[in-house]
Amino acid sequence: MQSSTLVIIPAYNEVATVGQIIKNIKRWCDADILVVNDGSTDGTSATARAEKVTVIDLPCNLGIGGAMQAGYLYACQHGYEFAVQVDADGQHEPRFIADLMQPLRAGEVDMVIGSRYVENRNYRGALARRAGSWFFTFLLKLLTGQAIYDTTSGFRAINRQVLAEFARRYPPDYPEVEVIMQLLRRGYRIKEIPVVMYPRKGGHSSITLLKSVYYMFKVSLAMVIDCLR
Amino acid sequence: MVLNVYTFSVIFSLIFLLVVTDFVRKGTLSEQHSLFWFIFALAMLLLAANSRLLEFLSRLLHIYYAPSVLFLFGFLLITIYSFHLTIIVSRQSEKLLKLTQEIALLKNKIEEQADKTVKSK
Repeated sequence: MQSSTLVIIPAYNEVATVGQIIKNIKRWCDADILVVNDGSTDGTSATARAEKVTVIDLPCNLGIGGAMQAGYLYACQHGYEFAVQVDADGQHEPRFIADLMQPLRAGEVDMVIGSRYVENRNYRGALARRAGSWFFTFLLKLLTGQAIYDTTSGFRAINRQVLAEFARRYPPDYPEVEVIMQLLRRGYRIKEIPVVMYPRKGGHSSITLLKSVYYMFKVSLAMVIDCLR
Repeated sequence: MVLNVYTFSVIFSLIFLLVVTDFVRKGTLSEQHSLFWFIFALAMLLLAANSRLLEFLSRLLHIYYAPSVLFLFGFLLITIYSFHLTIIVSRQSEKLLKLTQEIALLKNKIEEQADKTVKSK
C-alpha cells in the first residue's frame, strides 16, 4: 500500500552517495522514496533502481528547481499527503525526517525546515556561507517580518497544500530562499527545527564564487519583486 | 531641463527600469534574464546622469566627443548579451532535440505495449 509520505531525492551525478542515502532513509522511516535523476551522466539512475525505489529520469538536466518540481508533480498526481526533500549528497541525516514530519502531521504548520543553526562547527565554507545566510535571513525578516535562520537548507517537509503550490510555481534555479518568501507572502506557516548536517560526502557543490554572486542578486531581486505581486 | 543626449538617456533608463520590473512582476520575463536588463539600465542611468564620470571615461579612452562613451557602452553590452543569448539558444535547441527523441521513443514504447496486450487477448 502507498504511504502518505513521499521522500524526494533530487540527484545529479551522485552515484557515490545515492545508494547509501536510500538505505539510510529506509532504516529511519517507512515513507515511499522517489529519486529524480536530473540527467546524470554517471550510474546514479541504475544505483537508485538497484535499491528498489521509484526513479524518474529527466531526459535533460533541469537544475535543482526543475528536478524538485518534477518530484512535486509526481507527488501531487499520486495523491501524497506530505513530501520531504532529502539531498543525495549525504548532507542530510534521514534520522531527522520523523522530527520534520511531527509538526506537519499535527497540522501546526505547512512547511518544516531542518535547520543547522545548531550546527556542525567544522562545516566547510562556513564563513562565506554564513554571511550569505545572514543576509537572506535579514532580507526575509525585512520583507515578511518572520525570522527564518537557515534559509538555504534543502532539508524540508511540506504538506498537501504547499505541494499544490509548488506544483504550480517553483523557481527553476536556487529555489530554497525564494520559496520561503513565496509561501510566507501567501499566508502559509513555516517552522524550523534543529538538525545536524554533514559536509557533503561525494560529488561537487554546484555553487562557485561567481555563481554565488549571481545567486545573491537573483534571489534578492526575486524576493523584492515578489512583494510587488 | 533641456532635452539632450544625457537627459534623454536618463529618461529612457528610468522608463526602461519600470517596464522591466513590470514584466518580471507579471511573470512574462524570468528573474534570471531580467538581471542583465536591470544592470544595463542602472549603469546607463549612472553614466548618463553623471556627465563628469562620462567625461573622465572619454579622456581615459581618448574619445573627443563624450556622449560617444554612452554609445560605445551600449554597443559593447548589447554585443556581449547577444553572444550570451546565442549560447542559450544553442543549449535550448540541444535540449529540444533530446526531448523530441525521448517523446518519440516513449510513444513507440506505449504502442508496442498496446500491441502486445491486443495480441495476448
